[in-house]
Amino acid sequence: MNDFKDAAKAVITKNRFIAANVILICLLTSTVGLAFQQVIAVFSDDWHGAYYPFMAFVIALLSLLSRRANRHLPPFSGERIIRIIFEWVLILLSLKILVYLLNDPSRFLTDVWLWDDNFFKYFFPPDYIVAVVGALLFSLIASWLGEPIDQLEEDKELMDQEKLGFTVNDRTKARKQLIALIFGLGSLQLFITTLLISDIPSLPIKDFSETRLITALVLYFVLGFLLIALNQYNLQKARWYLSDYLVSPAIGQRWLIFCILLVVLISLLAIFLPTNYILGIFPAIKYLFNLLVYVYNFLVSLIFLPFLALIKLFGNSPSETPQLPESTQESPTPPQPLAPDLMPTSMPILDVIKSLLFWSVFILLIFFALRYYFRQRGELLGFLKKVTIAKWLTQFWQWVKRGFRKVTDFTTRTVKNGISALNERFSRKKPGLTLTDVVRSLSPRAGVIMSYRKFREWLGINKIPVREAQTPAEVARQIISTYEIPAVMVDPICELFCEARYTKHKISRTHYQQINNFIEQLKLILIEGDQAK
Amino acid sequence: MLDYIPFIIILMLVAAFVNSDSVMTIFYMIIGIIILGLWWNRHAVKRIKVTRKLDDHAFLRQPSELTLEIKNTSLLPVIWLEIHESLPLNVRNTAIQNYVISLPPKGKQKLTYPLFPQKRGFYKIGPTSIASGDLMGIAHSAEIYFEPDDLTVYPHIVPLENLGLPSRSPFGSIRHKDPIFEDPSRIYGKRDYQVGDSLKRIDWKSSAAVGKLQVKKFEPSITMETLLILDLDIASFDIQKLYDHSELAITCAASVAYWCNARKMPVGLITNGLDPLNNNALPNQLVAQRGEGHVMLILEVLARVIAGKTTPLSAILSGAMARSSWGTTLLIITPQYSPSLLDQMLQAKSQGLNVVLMLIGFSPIISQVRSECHHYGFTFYNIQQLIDIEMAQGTKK
Repeated sequence: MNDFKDAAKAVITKNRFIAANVILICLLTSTVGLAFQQVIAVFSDDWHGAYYPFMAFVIALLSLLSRRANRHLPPFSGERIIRIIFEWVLILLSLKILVYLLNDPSRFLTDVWLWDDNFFKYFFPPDYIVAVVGALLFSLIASWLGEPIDQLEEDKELMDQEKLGFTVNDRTKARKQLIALIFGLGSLQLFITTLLISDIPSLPIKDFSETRLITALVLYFVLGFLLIALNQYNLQKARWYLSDYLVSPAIGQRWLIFCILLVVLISLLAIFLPTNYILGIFPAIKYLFNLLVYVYNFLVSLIFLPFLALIKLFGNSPSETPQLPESTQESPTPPQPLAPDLMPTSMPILDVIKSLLFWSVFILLIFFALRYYFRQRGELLGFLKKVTIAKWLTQFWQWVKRGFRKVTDFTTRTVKNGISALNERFSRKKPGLTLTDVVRSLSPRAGVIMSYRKFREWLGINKIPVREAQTPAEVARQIISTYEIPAVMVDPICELFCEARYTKHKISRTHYQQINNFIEQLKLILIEGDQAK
Repeated sequence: MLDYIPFIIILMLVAAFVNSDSVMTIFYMIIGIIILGLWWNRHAVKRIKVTRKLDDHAFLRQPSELTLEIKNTSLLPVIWLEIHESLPLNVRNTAIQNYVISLPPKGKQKLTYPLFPQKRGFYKIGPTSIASGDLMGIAHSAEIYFEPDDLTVYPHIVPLENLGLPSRSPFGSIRHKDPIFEDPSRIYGKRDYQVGDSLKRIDWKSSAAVGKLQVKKFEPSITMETLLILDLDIASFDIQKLYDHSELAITCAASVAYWCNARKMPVGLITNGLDPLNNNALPNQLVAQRGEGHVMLILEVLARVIAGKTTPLSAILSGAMARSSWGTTLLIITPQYSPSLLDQMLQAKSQGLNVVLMLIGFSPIISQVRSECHHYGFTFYNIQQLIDIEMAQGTKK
């Protein structure tokens, strides 16, 4: 119990989350910086922008720290504006120095003399302007991401005010805003990446690294997911605080660890899944179909092979068989397996399998996503159900499913029977007696008693709780009163059992059959009664 | 996150048709995270087992603890688990504390809740609800309920003096230590032979086993049984004081039962109160017996019963009279006195029963009832308010 009240641990976890959020935003901005650098490299071949990811990291960090420092100031207060201006002057100057240091430090002395002639032309050369635009962009991205993060951050003072009703903080909206930002930026990056790596002839591609672009994209999404997960914790934490839950401090740490594990695991899985295809979707379907036909033909030919051999044997004994005309001598030939000849001979089988796997995974994932989406949107599903085509499609789908199930059941049953037959054939053990065999081998009296006992067990499990102490007559009354069925349906069972169990009357096989018939009829009625209820 | 699924699908369809590795990787990542999140969400809670440990019977104002043992039977960790236990207001004196815990694979945690029963009754402890979800907040958290357990809180028991009853023989006459009439069929023990004991009383088998003469002890043939008739028919009560008076009546019945047991007197209970354990039907009639177990049974019934629309007192009284043996004390605890009740009491007296009337609450005709009871030779008590008992306890202390 003390574990819940470990305030020091809770503070440490809170600080860790703040630090993790800041680092993640900086890294996210870095990946944008990497992509930005690659995009610029497309248009300029002598451009040196290797420092952009690092610059993006620093600018994002500065932006976030400045945001935290100015948080208590009003949005448009003089002090805040002055701070921002000073900060940016400092950033731009540092950037200028950095550009000089990285490109050609000796150019600085030449440029200083030229500033007198035309300051804007020589102070703002194109590479510096790009760096400034980049810096502004990175700062903006960090600021955008920082806003919902600030709102989601665990602030006990604010939450206490919320508890008292003095203020409202819509954290869910902030989280949605964060997701929208991450996905929006990610989509843009994805679009640009796709555009650059696809072979579009009109693009003035100079020099860029495809691997770096893809790495930046993948890293961006990995970091984005981590950020979303960490802020889900912040959201939950606020909800728990507002609802007066005692929260175990271990949660924060585990959340952090498992977020990283989860995202890394998914990323690894995503990397190893097939991501390209040689066969398109329709050729792949056609290929698959041909493969199925091939397998079918092969199986049929296996079945017909013995018959073919027999017919050939008959055909080889000229004394017994009458000579048939030439035209009628053709023996039935089994269908020949057709090889799937769709793919070019040069296409390796591994690539074909990869393509098939790719399309299967792709279609399955889309199907799953759509299904889940429609399930979540009940009203949309309701509307679609009213549309006639959708109804037909549903019926068709049900029909396909039924058919598939039948085929599966049949195949399973056949295979099971085959396996059991083979087992029996090759096993040295004698097959054990089933309960039915045991009952059949009993005397009619014992059979009647056993049938009734089985029926009681069935009742106890499925229908009515039957106690051991209840007499057959009591059980019968209980069935009659519960299901409101005529006594003639139940009493014969009770009477037959009592006769077999407690009298010395002769019990024949007919009695045994009678009790079984009555029991079966009663079971059907009880099951129908339950369904009607 | 599900809001973005159509967007993701459109994007990825386009990407798939341009056959791009990177885009497909991102697509797999997004879908993978969604699928894993949903799967985790659904399966994490399913493998949680909650065991509730508590004493299912408690005495009034006796503090105890409820322990919840939450166990994760899965190999997957449960990162967060919200636990909400529902406790009735009458069995706790603090606000319910809800917890959020984290469970490692195959891990377990114990949570304790203090219980402090403040009112007798039959309570449901629970249900316990647990909720958990995924790390990304992809779907709404999954919630599972665990069935509640029962808790019976015994009624308040006070000394008879505090009810205003004489402590030595409240019901008129009391059983004599050496009864004249003994029932030889009801042996209740053995003792050493003393000079003067009848030879018929010697138990030869026991004597042979022990090595000295043993004589049998018999129960008296006329036992001084007490049968409590508790009236909880809502029609008998002043509706404004239903709660107070019904509780007072139950406290009186419980106190008398306890008193009888302390004096080894057989005691039974017949009530028309409703038993929530038995779907608000009448509880079983408890015939007069002695012993701790039997009294606990009476107290248990008294803990559960509530006043309601039920069989009238006259009906249960007739039944009680029919099965009471001669000499039994019938203690009628009711808030209402009526001429028909007097008729039944007279009838009981004529059957040889000792009738005691305990009228609960204030009645304008108390003096009349008192004089009538005195006139017909019934013992009569009027118990006014529950607060009297508390005050009496305070004075005593």
